[in-house]
Amino acid sequence: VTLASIAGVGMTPFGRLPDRSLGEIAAPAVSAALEDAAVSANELDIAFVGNAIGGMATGQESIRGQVILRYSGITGIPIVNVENACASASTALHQAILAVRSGLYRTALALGVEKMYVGDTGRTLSMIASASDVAEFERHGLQFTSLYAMAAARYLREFPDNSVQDFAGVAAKNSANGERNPYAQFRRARTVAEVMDSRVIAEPLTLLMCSSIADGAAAAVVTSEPIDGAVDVLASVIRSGRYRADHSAPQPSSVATAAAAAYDQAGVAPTDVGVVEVHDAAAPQELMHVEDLALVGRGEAGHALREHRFSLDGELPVNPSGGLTSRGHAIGATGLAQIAELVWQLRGEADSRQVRFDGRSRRVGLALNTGGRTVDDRAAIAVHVLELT
Amino acid sequence: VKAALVGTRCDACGATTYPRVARCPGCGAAEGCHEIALPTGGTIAEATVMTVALPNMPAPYAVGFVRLDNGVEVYCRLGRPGAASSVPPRGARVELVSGENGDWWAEVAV
Repeated sequence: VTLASIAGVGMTPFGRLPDRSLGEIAAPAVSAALEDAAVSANELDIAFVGNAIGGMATGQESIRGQVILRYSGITGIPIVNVENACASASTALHQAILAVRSGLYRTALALGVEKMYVGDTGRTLSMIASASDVAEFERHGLQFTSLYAMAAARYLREFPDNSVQDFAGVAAKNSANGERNPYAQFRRARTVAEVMDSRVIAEPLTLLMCSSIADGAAAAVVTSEPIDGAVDVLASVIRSGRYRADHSAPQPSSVATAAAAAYDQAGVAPTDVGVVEVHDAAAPQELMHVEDLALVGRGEAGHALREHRFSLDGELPVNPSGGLTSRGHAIGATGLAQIAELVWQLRGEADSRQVRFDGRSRRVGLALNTGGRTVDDRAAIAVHVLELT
Repeated sequence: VKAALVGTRCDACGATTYPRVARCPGCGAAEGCHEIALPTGGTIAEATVMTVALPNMPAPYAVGFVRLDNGVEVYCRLGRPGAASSVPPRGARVELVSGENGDWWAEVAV
């Protein structure tokens, strides 16, 4: 069953855009998505605007979507503001899919936009930390990298066939992909040695294994109308992390739970997936995610990486965009940047970073976007499965 | 001074939660959650040292998950604010201690 179709996508290249307002950052992505979909602004029936920390960054705590979209000439229609930390954009997409699937609206815009450079890195880090349960975590100086570092250390203990070099290998692979992506923030291929030698953020994570601060936007036009050659949405699954009762036993991964629901909704098997974008907010997360997504067995991701299975010319390219570490992580825009990449890859429009679907009977892509932290777990998990028909 | 954290215990399913809740996230029972004082002793489940400072937190500083003696896990700073930081070994005994203005952290027991 097709939930909806993605008629068009667009991006504002991720990077450092300090002099631009949220509306100015969003406008190129909105225009590109409308043009790609051959839809005029007047034909939109509803819009969902994902953004995480724009309120803190600019003081515009409420009605950011209406302010942002007015600059792009979009007024009058319902505009819904969506916040779900680093999963804000994919949550906006989920809402757009629900809207057209309901029959109440025919054409919806999903936008994700973020402005993180505010001239004060400490302030930006505090804004990012607000994607946690602030009352519990602020006094302890929570930074998400500490959670990723501890998860990475645990992964290495549990699966000793993997190593810190594999984490660096993920970052190096993604940097090579980012070098080919004109929308990427970092367009320089790095070696494993360069990644290993960059400064330590939190053992075992080094700087080049971590996603950085970015400004940027991404958008998609979603429609209930069948379109020839469109990219269809086969699954759109959003979850929140679960309360954890028993800390003595390993917790079932909330990503694995969401992924299983997505495969079920899409009616596809992991082996049907030919291209993947995952949430490598820190490089080790990519290895854990491909395992949670059942694309490789538990503990086998490092081996698969070393065999180049996740490279652009491998059998299952992962993060062809460069991922969060190289394309960049403009947090409230990332989910739709993943979707834009999948759409370009599925349509064969990704130029020098185009993946191949040789030997596959279907062209299926999957995006995993996660966000925030409660005391128990991730706050939000989003999985989308797309197919070019 | 030991840190007196308040959690919740559910009469219906026995789940203990921190921070406290009105209804049990374990079983969803409408009634039966009551506040309890959490134990102040526990062990390091996982730890790391952050080398990047925050506006309210000079680096380096150690953080981690402490498994309290009743099984509840809490994320907190490890060591007194401003103290030199190294990663305490997993399994090390710690005590939750309190500072000013409701602040608290874990210190390795001597």
